[in-house]
Amino acid sequence: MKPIINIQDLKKTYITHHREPGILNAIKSLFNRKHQLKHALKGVSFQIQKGELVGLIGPNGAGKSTTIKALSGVLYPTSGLVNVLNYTPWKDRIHYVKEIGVVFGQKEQLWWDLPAIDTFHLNKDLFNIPEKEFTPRLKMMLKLLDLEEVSKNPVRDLSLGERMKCKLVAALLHNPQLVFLDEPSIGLDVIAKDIMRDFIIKVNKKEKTTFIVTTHDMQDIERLCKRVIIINHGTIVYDGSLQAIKKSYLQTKIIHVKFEEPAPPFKFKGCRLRTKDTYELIIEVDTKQQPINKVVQHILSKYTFADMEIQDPPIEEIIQKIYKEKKGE
Amino acid sequence: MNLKPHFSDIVAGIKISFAYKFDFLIFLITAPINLIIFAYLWTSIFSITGQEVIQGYTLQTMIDYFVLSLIVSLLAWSDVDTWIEIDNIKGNIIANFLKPVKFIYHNYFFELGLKIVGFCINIIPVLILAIPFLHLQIYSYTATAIALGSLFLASILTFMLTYIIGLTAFWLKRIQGLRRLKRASLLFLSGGIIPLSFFPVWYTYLSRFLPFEHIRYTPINIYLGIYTTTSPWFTNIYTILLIQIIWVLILWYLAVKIEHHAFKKFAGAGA
Repeated sequence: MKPIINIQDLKKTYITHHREPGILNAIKSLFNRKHQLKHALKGVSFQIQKGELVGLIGPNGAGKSTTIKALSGVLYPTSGLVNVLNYTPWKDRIHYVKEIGVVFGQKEQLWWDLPAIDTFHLNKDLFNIPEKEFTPRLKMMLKLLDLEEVSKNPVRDLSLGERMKCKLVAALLHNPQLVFLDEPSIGLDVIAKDIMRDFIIKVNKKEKTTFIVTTHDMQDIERLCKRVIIINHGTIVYDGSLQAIKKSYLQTKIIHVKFEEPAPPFKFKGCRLRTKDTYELIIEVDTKQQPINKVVQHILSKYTFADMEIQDPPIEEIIQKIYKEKKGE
Repeated sequence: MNLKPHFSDIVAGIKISFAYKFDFLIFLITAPINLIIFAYLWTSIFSITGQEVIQGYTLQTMIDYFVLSLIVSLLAWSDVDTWIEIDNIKGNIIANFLKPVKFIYHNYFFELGLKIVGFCINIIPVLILAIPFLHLQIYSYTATAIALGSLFLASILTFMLTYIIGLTAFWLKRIQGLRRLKRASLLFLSGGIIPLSFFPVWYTYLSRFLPFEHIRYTPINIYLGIYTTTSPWFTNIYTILLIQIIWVLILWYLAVKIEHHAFKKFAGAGA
């Protein structure tokens, strides 16, 4: 089957300014500005098939958002070949954006001064959505994301999570074949994240919509994606199944336990104390040796603590492990 | 051309005009206050100097000039440079690139929505003040109709000039200084502060071939009957309208050329 996204050797370089802190340096920079060439993408290549739900992950400044921007047609890359749904996104932007949906978690995409419901209705004309498709689809989405009342308030008065859910509705109303979600779970609480993930899975299954999701949240990836592309310093360091990553690199969990009194000593099979602050223990659990629930049960029964949080190791650690492995080859 | 997407932008502009109650109410009184200030200022100047005619203007024609200048400014304005600058810096311009319409059309039609509301809510208090109290009169219905056509062209010209200034934000990022310079020079060179007949003669000749006077001075002079179809070529309506149309086409061409390079420049860094 022909891939719906085909990227070959995508590069993006831009110029940025560089200056030391202080008023004197600010004045100096007026006369002598130091330019810095930034290579955001250094030759990215991958293909994506219709109906896939792919996670694009990497540390801050890795090039995830730049890739999404180039793929959604808002950015002219420096070089490379991009074919998405038989379009070159930045060349055929007007026709192309009708076929895709995009959510940028950190950008405003709704009319700020109007209730979100107005943006949805304006998008109906903008994307030429037939009335008989628009109304039931909007109704269904508002119900699923619990936005029926909230969408009538001005966007400026909504919480970050509510705005994010509204942006998701706006991006999906015209029933696009392909959706880019750039950090969609940013600022969302646990319940909202769950609702949104369920919603994405539902749309993916029902409409065969292809999703590309960038995130820092490994939970997003675990719930949503079968395939993961890891990007770092503008290059792809891994492209493969999530299962393989989990097997090789996600065998540890990190537990943060906070105490109101000085933290007690901790020792348990399969666990390693990463750091011990006065009021906090950070424990690394080797889940191959010891199931996470056993460790939690142990902590619950032995200690009186103020707060506990279980996390995956940060993406940077996974990347380090991949690099180490590559060097070893 | 499918007008539905553009209609959506006009409606957005109209809806946003009503979003803030206090701001909307202040809009209602701004134009009449401006008018009262100008009428008072020129009445004082005529009474202090004791002259009945200054640079060819009587007190009545001078007041007419400023009433008309105010009406023209209700449609021939543009803030598109401010939006492009702010959206560029904050990265929100991405949202506009994700709309299936040309960037220039999106901005034009959205602003048209704002102008429609601004014009409708301002024109009534202005006319209530201008017709009975300031004795504004219609000199000729034909001239009024042509002046309205010229006003439409003036509105597009203002938008195009401001849009081109706005596009420089893709290179310069902050263009607050440039925007202020544009605002001040456009107001002065278009005859917004004093009629252009007060300027040196050589400039009045040069100015006819520049775009600036055609965004304010031209529709006013057509309305006042200073430019007519029988005037010599230099003040002939046909010549003037042709110059206006040529400038719209030149600026349109420049805007399309510049925006192509501007969009390439957009890096969306940090966004």
